[in-house]
This record gives sequence, structure tokens and C-alpha cells, in this order.
Amino acid sequence: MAAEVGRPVIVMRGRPTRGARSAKISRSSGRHEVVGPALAALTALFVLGVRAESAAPTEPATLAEFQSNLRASVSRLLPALVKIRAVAGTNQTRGTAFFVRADGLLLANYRVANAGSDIEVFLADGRRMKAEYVIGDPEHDLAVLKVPGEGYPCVTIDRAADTRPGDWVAVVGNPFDHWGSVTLGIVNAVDRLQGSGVYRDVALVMDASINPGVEGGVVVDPRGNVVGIAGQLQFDDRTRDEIHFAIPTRVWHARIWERIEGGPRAEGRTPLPEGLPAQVRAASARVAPLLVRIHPKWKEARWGLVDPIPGPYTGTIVGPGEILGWSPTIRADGIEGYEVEFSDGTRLSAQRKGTDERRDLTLLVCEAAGRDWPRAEILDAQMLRPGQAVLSWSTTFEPLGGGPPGGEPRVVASPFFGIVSGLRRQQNAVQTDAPFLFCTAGGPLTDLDGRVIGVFTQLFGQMTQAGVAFTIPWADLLPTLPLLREGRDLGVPYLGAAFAPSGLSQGGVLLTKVMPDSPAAEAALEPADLILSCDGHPIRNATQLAKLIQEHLPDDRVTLTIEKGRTGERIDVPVTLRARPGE
Amino acid sequence: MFLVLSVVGVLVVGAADDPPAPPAWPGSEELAAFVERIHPAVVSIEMVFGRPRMGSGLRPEDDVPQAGATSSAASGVLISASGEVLTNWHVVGEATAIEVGLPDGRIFAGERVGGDPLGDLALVRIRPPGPVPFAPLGDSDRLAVGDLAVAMGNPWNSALTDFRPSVSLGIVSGLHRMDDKGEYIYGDSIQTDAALNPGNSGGPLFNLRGELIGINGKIHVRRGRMNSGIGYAISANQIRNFLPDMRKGGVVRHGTLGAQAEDAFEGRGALLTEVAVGGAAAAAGLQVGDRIVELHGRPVRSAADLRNVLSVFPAGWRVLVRFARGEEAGEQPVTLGVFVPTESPEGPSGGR
Repeated sequence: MAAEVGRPVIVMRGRPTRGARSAKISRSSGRHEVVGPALAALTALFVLGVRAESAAPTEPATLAEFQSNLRASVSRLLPALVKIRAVAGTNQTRGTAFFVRADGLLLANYRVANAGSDIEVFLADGRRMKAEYVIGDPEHDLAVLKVPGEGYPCVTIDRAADTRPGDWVAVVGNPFDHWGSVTLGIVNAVDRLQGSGVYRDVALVMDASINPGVEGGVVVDPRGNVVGIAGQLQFDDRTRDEIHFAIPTRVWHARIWERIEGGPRAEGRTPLPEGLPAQVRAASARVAPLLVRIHPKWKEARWGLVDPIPGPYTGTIVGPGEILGWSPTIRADGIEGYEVEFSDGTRLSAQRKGTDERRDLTLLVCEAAGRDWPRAEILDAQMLRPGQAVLSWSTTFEPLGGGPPGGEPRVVASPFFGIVSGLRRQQNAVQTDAPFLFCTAGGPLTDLDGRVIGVFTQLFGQMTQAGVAFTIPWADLLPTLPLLREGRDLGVPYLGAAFAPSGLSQGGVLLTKVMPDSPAAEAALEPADLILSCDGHPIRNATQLAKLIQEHLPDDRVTLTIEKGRTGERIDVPVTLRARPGE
Repeated sequence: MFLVLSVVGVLVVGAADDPPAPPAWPGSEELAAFVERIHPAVVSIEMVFGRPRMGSGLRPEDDVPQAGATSSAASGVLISASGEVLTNWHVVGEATAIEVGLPDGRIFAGERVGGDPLGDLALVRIRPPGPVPFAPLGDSDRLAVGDLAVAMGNPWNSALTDFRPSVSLGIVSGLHRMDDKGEYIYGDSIQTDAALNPGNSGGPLFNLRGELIGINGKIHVRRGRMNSGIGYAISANQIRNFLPDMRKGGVVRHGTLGAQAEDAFEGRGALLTEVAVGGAAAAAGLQVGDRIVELHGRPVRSAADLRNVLSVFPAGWRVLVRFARGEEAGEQPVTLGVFVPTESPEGPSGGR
């Protein structure tokens, strides 16, 4: 996407009007209201200033600088923020609005407030008043409201449309009952289409949190440019992910503002440094060849007990013709085959091989003789430090219009931001707070330079968006690949024992129950036995024992050092693990 | 089998053709250094509810822990070199045994010293042989919306194997939040979008300087989604107010004016509608019709504001009330009474 040079700063200011005129009329509201004279009221001018465009933008050199930019952007917006309550019949909606003109014009979501609703607004200074619907665009979920009065602090909505994946964004709105809440994230995708919903052709997707009530809030970059308007929470038809959409400001300008103002208006804009988007772009170029979009082929009726995720899904190329994906999606009942789409546009059919159930990863294999398979540039997970920035990736966002043949590849890597939360978790996994979504599961986790750390999964079941997710380091994946290629399913290792809650222990976990016909029973473990260590690693609690067990495969032998409850005798007991029996 | 040792030999780090861009996000290095410096003060807590387990000399005929006993895990933070741990009341309030794991791998038995059951705060003591790392208490009134915030703790028990805390990055999403749904009153609390999950309870929220600005304790759960991007932390300044009494042991009560208030016209304060006979407000000479505009230096624009500001003070504290009576402005110190939560329709904190 072309970079644009001039960007306006957000300023709170009144602006000159161009004399009385009639406003355009809402297309479908049924309520046709002329707003000309009211809009034309002259308001005071207090332009705070537009930054010189010539100054080359620089990245914040420190987190403190990043923070002070963000703090400043947000504090300039908050005085213009308004909370909306709209009542239409028995239906009450809440949302966010912003003053966009000092004479009381407000920007809001059409679905929150429209011609059919009685609208009440709550201002930053504690006032509450009735607002009137002026015009709107139901298709793009935009509305303009008006309250009487003048001199309101307002925001300037950026005209430019060059928001890039990797740009930092903050969303300002009113979730639930709160006034003025801000969340931080990056732009994941622009002009990309997800499966469904109202923002089909105006997608700007971000990983900043949005909650009910934030609709109509503004999306601002750390330099204070308003780049989008928060949309409703949407669930993607295909991936079932909750997607945080914003309506790009160019849509606001084209559909609303030019109708009110009578034409486009040049704006200065605070230039943004290339910084993160450039780095993300480079990372994306590096990582995209490793990424695939997996299209499942469904049997005709795919309605089982559990509603499957229709797909597509993201996968990672881990070897010649070898692709790892996330089992809970790609192993759903009803899938009878796969087609794998690569970043160069090639589509190949793939076969399912083995699954590593401990990690929820499944291997797909494509046959393509002569194909040049990319080799991942690996970042050793041992080099990571908690706090370091990482990206997870999705391939499920599609360009608007499907992308031209021979033009931009259809599979584009969309980044999601997180930091390393912890290292050497269960199965040596790297823990991150990057959002775990159905669309990022099975993709790689990389550093900001696109070097691959491992494959992104969730060791806590199917929980998505939790802010706790895991990545199996590349080096830990490699030894399993030959087994998976043979079609072997690697089960979850199972001991078959239950333990007492620990507490006040000097070490060891107390066995309270031994399952019949389990490895624990075979090894003659008994209730009241105290397990002191596993393969020489001292055990402090049951979680730790479970972690050590899970580093094995079924049929592996471990040695437990126990203190027999019956005799107090300390012995080493070899136990041959088994795969956890099916539910 | 292939646990931690299989890493060497597959590294292809650093392709020469693509020189790395200058760091676009200053955070990676800085935050990693921050985490290394700060994390030793963050602890994992394992609690047992019901019958604690016995020593290791158990015999089958002895009491094997009963089915009623359960354990769960959460987080805490050391706030003094001598081993004081802050956590949530809902973490340790009912526990029969408390175990505290430090990031250096040591485990100590914890003893509950005192707490604020309404404000969901508890003080636990461990007895380490020497000084332990601790986090300094910051000034939460100096926070601004948009400030970076780093949460640490033990979500989903992920840290319980080595007690190294999980770290998540977010910002201060909101300040002075009131959330009193449920048993606890999170008054004047810090709202953050740093990922918080079950198990993060009791863990610290830090500012960029590494100061403790809050104790994470509550999240908004939406459609079963744990981390909806709205979490609440008890502010450091509320903690500072309650800490002296918690150190003395026992349960610390919240303060009340002993009056009912409603919103004054257009955000002009909290109008007293009822002043309880013998209550704190009455004792200080406040009357029905007085309009409170400031409490202890904080502006009061509504009855909700009054409740919010009040919620950070323990009973017995003397706070300065500024009010308007008719045309006159007044100022009066009030010694707060003991707040008794009621089941009034306004919620548990009605009747302040």
C-alpha cells in the first residue's frame, strides 16, 4: 500500500465553516433531516497546531518515550469522548461517540444510534443531554449525531488510508459501564476480508481489545492520528474468531464527512516513522513462504455433535512437503481431505498423517516432487528472554476482491503482537500473551525479524483469546516429525494416578488414587505413596510431576523415587507410561 | 526423551542478505531487562482448602487427605525484604495452608497476617532465612491512561513448575474504576488490558519504573472468554492506606461517612440525602442537603464518585471533606466509621 506523506495531527479545535448549506440526507433512515443552518454556526478557532511535515519521524528510543507519546495521544482525545445510550422501542444500546466539530457534531456507530432511536449522551464534563441523529451510513456502520451548543473539544479524523499492519493502535471507548477506556494493540490486517459480518469491504483488523460499548470509539496511532472507528464485535464465519474491526477513516471521509463538508479537505498529518510496520513487513516477507492456508474438504454433512470450525486454517511448513497444523481444527470429524495453499499461489492436496496429542499438532504431507521447499530461519528458544516481543501469524485474512491473478499472493501473513511471558513451560514450551485464535493456531511464532521460534498452540484445550498460549520450540518439534510422518499418533503419556493437593510440603506429592489397569497400578504404586522424584528431578507438586511426565511419549519408561506409605521405605520404581485412554 | 536438550545443531540464525532494521519497538531489550530485574519479587502461591495434607510419615490407616480438600494456585508479590507478600483475599482468605514459591525455586510456608476481605487484599508472611527481593510500592495517583503496564503472575498455574512468573504487557486502560459486582468492592481501581487469567489473582501490576502500582484481582469474563481485555487491579495507594492495619494483624474494615447521597445537579457533587444519627458524618456536623465536592483532595462530582473515593480508606481514618451548604463552602475533617456491607438494592456497598 502506498505510503502517504502528509498526515494531520489530532487537534482539538473548532474549525471555520463555509457558510450555510443543506446537509445530505441519510439514505435509508426514513428520517430526512436538514441540518444545514445548525451545522453552519460559526465556532471559535483554537487550532493547537499542525506539526511540521518536514521533520523526519523517529521511533521512540525507549519505552518511556513510547509511553509518553501514547499518553499524550490519549489525553488529547478524552475530552472529546462521549458515552451514548440509545433506546429504540424496548431495545437499549450503549456505545461511544466523539465530537468531530465544535458545534456539537458527533461521530458514532449506526448500529448504536440511528434515526429510530432516542439518544442520550454523557459528556466528559459530567453533562448529559439529548442528541439527534443527523445522517448515517448503515452499510459502513457510521452515523453523525448532533447536540446543541458550541465550543466542544473535538477530534480531527484522519483522511489518509495508509494504516499498515504493524502500526501501533490504541482504541478509546466506553466498554460496559466505563467511561474512557483505552486498549493497545497492533494493526493485523488492512483491506482484508474475514468471513462475514458487517465490515466486509472495509476491514481494518487489530488485536487491541474491544468490548461491548466501545463501538463508535476511535482508533488512534501513537502520534495521535485517528486512523479508524471501532466497529462491533464480529465473529468470523470461517474461523469463529472474535475479530476486532475498525472502519478506516477514509470510509468516514468518503461516505460521511465529505457530504457534510461539501468536499474533501486537505489535512496535515503527523508523519509516522516506518519503524514497526517496516520491520513487520520484512518479517512478513521472510515468514510468508513458510506459511500455508489449509482448506479442509468437508463431507457433505458436517454437522456433528461438536460444531467444527469451517476453515481455512493456518499451517506451518516444517520440512519438505511437511506441514503442521492445529489438531482441534484440522482433525475435525467430517474433514475428508485438505488442500494447502502456498504464498506463491500454488495449491496442493495434502494427506493427514500423525497427530501429537500432547501438543495438539497434526502433520499434513503434500507430494510435490521438484518443489523448492523453504527452510525456516530458526531462533533458538533458549535465546529468548521473557518480555521480548514476538509475533504470531495468520493466513486466513483475504485481500478484498480475492486478489488479482499473478498479482499479490492470496496468502498473506498477518501479524499479531505479544511478548514472551515465560520459558520452559510444559513440554519446554514458550509462553506468550500474543492472542491465541483459531486463525493463528498452527502458525509459527516468530520474533520481530520473522525468525521462527516454533509452532503456536494451546496446551489448555481450545481456549482462544486467553492471553496465555504456548509455542513448541522448533528443536522440540523436529524429533517427532519422522514419527508423525509414519502416521503415528503420539498420545498423551499417562501414569494413572491422582494426587492430594499439596501444601506445606518439604517435597514430594502424595498419591491418593491409583486407576485400575494403569501404568501406576502395574508398577504397584498405592495410595499414600509419596512420589519424591521423577528421573532424578525432585518433585514439589503434582503440576511439576505432570510436566515431567508430559515430556515423555507413551511407552517411555520413567523412574519414580517413592516413599512407600505402608513401610516408609524409599525405593526406585520403574514405570512404563502408556497413552491416556480415550474418553 | 527429547526434552530440553535437543536444541543444538539446527540453528540457522541470521541470514546475511537481509540486514535487520533498527529496533522499531524499543520494548524487546528494555522489557526483557525489566523482567529480569523485577520478576524475583513475584511469587506463586499454592493454597489448600479443607484439610491440609499430613507429613510424609503417613500410613494408609492414617488420615489420607479427604476428598473435600482441594488446592489451587495463584500469585503474589513480595513487598519487603523480610518476606511480606501481598495477594488477594480471595486467594488466601479461606486457605488452610499456604505455600509460597519464589522464582529462585525456594518454597516457604505462608502465614496469613491480615487482610481486607471487602477490598480483596491480604498480607501473607513467609520467613526466609535472609532478605528477599521485593517490589517497591508506587504512587498510583501518578498514573495516566495509556501508561504501559506489566502484569506478572501464575495464570493457569503455568508458573508452578519453577515459580518463574508469566509476564504480560498492556496499558492502563482506565483509572478510578468501581466494580462492586460480586463479593468484593474494587473501588478506585486500575483497569488494564494486560492479559489476566485465572491464577493471575494476587499478582502485581507494575509501571515502567518497576514499581508496584496494583494487585491484579478481577477480570471481566465475557461469553466464557477469560481474558476479554478488561482486568482490574487494586491500586497501590489503596494498599498503602490499608497496609499499616493489615500488618497489625486481623481484618481491616472499610470506612464510611454514615450518610446516603445522590447525584447533585449536573455533576456538581454528591448531595447528602440521609445522615445517620451517630454516624461519622453526623459527628462531624454534616447535614442533609450538604453537597460534598471533594474528599481528601479528590474531586467528587457524583454520588458514585463519593463512593469510589471513600472505598480506598479504612475505618477510623480522618479525611477532609469539602462541601457546599447553600451558598457557603465548608471544610470538615471526618473520622470514618465502620462500613457494614448490606444487601440493599443498590448492591453490597449501598448505604455508605
